[in-house]
Amino acid sequence: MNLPLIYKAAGAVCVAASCLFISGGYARSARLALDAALDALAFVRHAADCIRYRADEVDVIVSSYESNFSSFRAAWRHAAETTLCGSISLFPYDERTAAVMTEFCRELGRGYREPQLELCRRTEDALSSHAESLSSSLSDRLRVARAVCVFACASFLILFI
Amino acid sequence: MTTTIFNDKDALSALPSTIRADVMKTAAAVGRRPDELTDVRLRREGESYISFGRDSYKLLCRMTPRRFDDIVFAMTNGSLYAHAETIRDGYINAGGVRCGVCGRANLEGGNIREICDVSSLSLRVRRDVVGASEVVFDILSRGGFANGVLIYSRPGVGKTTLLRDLIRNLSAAGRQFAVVDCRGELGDACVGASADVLSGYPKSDGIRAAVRSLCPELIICDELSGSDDADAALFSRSCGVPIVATAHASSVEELRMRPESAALFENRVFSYFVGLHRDKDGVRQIVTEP
Repeated sequence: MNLPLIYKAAGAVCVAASCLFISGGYARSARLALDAALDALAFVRHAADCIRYRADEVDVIVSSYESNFSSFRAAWRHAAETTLCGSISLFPYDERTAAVMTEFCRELGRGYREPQLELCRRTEDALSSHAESLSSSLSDRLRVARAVCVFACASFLILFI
Repeated sequence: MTTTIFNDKDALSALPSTIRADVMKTAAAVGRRPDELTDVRLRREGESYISFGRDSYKLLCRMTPRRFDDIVFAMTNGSLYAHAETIRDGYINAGGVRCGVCGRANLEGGNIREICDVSSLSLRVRRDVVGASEVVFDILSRGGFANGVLIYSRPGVGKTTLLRDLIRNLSAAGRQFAVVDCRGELGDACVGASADVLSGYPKSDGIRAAVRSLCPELIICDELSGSDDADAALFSRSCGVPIVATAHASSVEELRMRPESAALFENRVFSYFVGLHRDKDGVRQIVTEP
């Protein structure tokens, strides 16, 4: 194998790897933000049920919540052992979800049943619409990531022709 | 012979640590020991006080509406909605410590729907007095645990303290009894006791449930008030289950004045009345038979 071909191969591998890495990270961050928003939404629904049917205290609501996302369980455990407000930063929320959840945690427990259920409804609506937009942006990102991968493979081949 | 056990961690644990520190600082400033503390009264707008028996002192702290709201929030364990019913009844149960509450009543159909804008908190410091129930326990054991006893006094003299000690004595004697603990003040005295605890039940429902389903030798219940409670006590007695209860009054005559008491006296639901009277030497117990 002559030297220019080795350079060509190394360059092609570098281009392909960086394209895969960047596009993968691009899609993964969108997936993580969506999962975190869906998890927050599930928690708010759980909180509403606990307040509506059992009038559970906030610490009981947090400790009885079982996240479907195993990667967030450690953060929920931390929230159960300390405070919910103080644990928000442990979740990989995007800016919008973090703002909604911070507001929710600040108000949770500070009112009677009906205003608290209204707070849950309001938060649920905000998180639902945000999760929808995250979901559509995720599919866009996946399309971009797939396209980047295809172009990377094509450039890989072109470099060898 | 009675022994008073004061545990400031237990008694003041309902308060946030910053206010607890202010209470201790004020006690030190007025030269009183924290174990003499009897009441802490916090007010949203007005002055806050701590009391040592009849001596009250202004609390050395800067109370702002925001700080007061945070105290209420902390005393409800960060869950105001979970305490709505007890707040409507005038108290917060903060981990077994009862704290009086007042504010603005929001009415619906003439009944209190909720208490908004809590403006005052009154925390009575609880003490366990070992031996406080000797007289009542003696009455019960002499009668083969078949007599009902009503313990009466003015507020703050020690009725609940006596009941808590009685629970321990009955457990030590291996009696099988039920405790109707609607305010959560007796529950922790029942830990390890030979008692069935009906926690959070309305008194009348708790008494009826205990009689119907638990076969207790006797029922213990704090603060009978109103015709529902009197009917339940009568039901319990008529089913052969004696009841040991407390009521607010300073004499048996005052108890008789209440319309709901007529049936209780007429049917001898209580075989003995034990009055608690505080004087300069401590609390005296006066036993009366109707």
